[in-house]
Amino acid sequence: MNGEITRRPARFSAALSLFAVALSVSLVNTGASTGTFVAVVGLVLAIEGAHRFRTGQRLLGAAGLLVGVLVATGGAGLAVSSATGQSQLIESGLGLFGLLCLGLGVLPLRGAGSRGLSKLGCASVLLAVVAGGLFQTADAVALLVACAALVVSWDAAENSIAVGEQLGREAKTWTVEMAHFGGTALVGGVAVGTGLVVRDLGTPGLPLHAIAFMLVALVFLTLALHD
Amino acid sequence: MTTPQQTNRWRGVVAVALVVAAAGLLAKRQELLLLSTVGVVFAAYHRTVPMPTPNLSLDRRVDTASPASGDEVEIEVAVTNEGDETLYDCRVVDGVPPALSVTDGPARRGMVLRPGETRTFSYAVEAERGRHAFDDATAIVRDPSGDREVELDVRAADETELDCTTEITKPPRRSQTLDTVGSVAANGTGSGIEFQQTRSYRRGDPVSQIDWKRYAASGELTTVDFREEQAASILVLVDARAVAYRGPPGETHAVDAGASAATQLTTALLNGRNHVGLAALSAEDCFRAPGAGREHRLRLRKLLSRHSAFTASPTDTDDPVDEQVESYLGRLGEQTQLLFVSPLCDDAAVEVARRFDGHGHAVTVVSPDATANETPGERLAAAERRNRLRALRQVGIPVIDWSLDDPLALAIDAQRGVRT
Repeated sequence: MNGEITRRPARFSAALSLFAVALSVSLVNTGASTGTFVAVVGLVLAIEGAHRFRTGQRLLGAAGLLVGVLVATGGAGLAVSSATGQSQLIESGLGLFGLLCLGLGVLPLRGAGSRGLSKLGCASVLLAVVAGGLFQTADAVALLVACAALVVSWDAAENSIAVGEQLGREAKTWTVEMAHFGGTALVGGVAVGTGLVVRDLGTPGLPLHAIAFMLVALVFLTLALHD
Repeated sequence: MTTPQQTNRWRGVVAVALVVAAAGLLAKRQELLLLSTVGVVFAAYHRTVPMPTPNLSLDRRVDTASPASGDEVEIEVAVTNEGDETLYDCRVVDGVPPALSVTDGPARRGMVLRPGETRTFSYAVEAERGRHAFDDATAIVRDPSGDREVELDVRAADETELDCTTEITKPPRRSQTLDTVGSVAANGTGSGIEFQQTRSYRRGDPVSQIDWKRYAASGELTTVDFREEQAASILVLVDARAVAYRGPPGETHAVDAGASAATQLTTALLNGRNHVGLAALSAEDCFRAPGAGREHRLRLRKLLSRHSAFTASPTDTDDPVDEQVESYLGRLGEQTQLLFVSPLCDDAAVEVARRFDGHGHAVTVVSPDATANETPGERLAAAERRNRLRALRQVGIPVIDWSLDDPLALAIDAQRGVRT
């Protein structure tokens, strides 16, 4: 190893981020979970292959790229074909698009990763989660966990890019990444718990004005937290 | 310590939560409304998690403090959390001297530090000629949520330095001297240690110089004279103008070589009990009048390793040197010699040497050879430099042509061979 610093996003957090987002997508659309995870593996293979190809390891890179693209396409096809009805198709599409963007954001073909792409990816998956709620294809618990996993994934992606920028890929960073991810995941768990408690407090027949008041209270709380 | 900076990475999480909640309200979906709690919890997380006040200490160990040029030097850095809070996210980048390149392992590491805990990392650099001081390490400490970060410089417990210089036993010096004891053999006689002659006693000779044995034997008063040794006062002037930042790509440039030469020369001259000063021709004035003593030596060393005139990269502009030369001339004592370290990249350098010579300072030029021999342009530059060397020698200014592949001591010895 020489002293050059590769300012690519840190591997550990990038992997956790992709795993968390795949979890989020597959929770919203349970039928497509196998396809989603296969697509993630394919995506990682393809992007790493393309990067190797670009940096000189032509044969290995080309092989990785080819296999990766095949696996990813297969996974995406599996996810889309498992969709029953238009709503699930929309969710799958948004989810897979988000996966692709996030993948390119944390495993860039060149450069130090892109916060913009990873945000776009997470926004797309968030839309998929919201769609899941609107079309009622997933139950409240699954949506809550998916949402928390999405935030964790975005956080890991951001951290992976920041660590890559500051320390580079060769530095030993996994302890820092692990600590950060652990903290966020723990809070994600707390968020899911809080969501469940809130759900149990509210009865299904809650009048709309009560919900509106709750929302106003929520706005004040968040404003208080914001400043 | 610097104040924590917001990283703004959680900005917008509340807005997104509100949008999702509004969507849920409009669509009358309780599930969506619930999702906003996730956003609120994360917003609360980054607001409430405490920012630690980092208190770090650093210990840097070098396996060989004075390596030969081209040697690989292993450096081990130990970072200790001296505070009483756990640092969950501490990223440390060591301050590798700018002229050195890291050959093995990155000089950086991320670490989780419990109170009192120490973590180490090691890397290797390739030693280059010169004396290289390590900069402070930079540590970036974030709170667990990553919302705020503090960047701080961590100074090593003891200042580390890589000394990659060859000892010069006899630095170049011309015979002009001061009335202080030093190592230049003077023609005059006096109170040195080398025997010169005996002569008959004259009134006023010091009692210690009377040859008492002879007096006891013959009753005749004689005085022993010794050869007097005197010190020279020498100013080492380094050419650090932007034009001097020349060198083959990827190798030491002439200013680095010049600073390294100045380090070696000042050390050797001070060891010979001479008065030595240091100055630089550069965008920023850098002048230290000749002096002697331990503190002076440290000051010169600090100047060479820390002053902006000797940094690894040039400043953009080159002011005309006339004014600077004028100001240095005004500050020099009458009998001060000048050791001018310059790659002689332009005629202005020759002019500077001649100006000092014209004002009665004995000038010697040490010229690190930064030219190459590949392209026609490089060959032209080399020829021009040779012409400048010749022009200087013609007016009686000795020039030491230092090829950067050899130690400076060798070049000086070769020059001495030419002169004797």
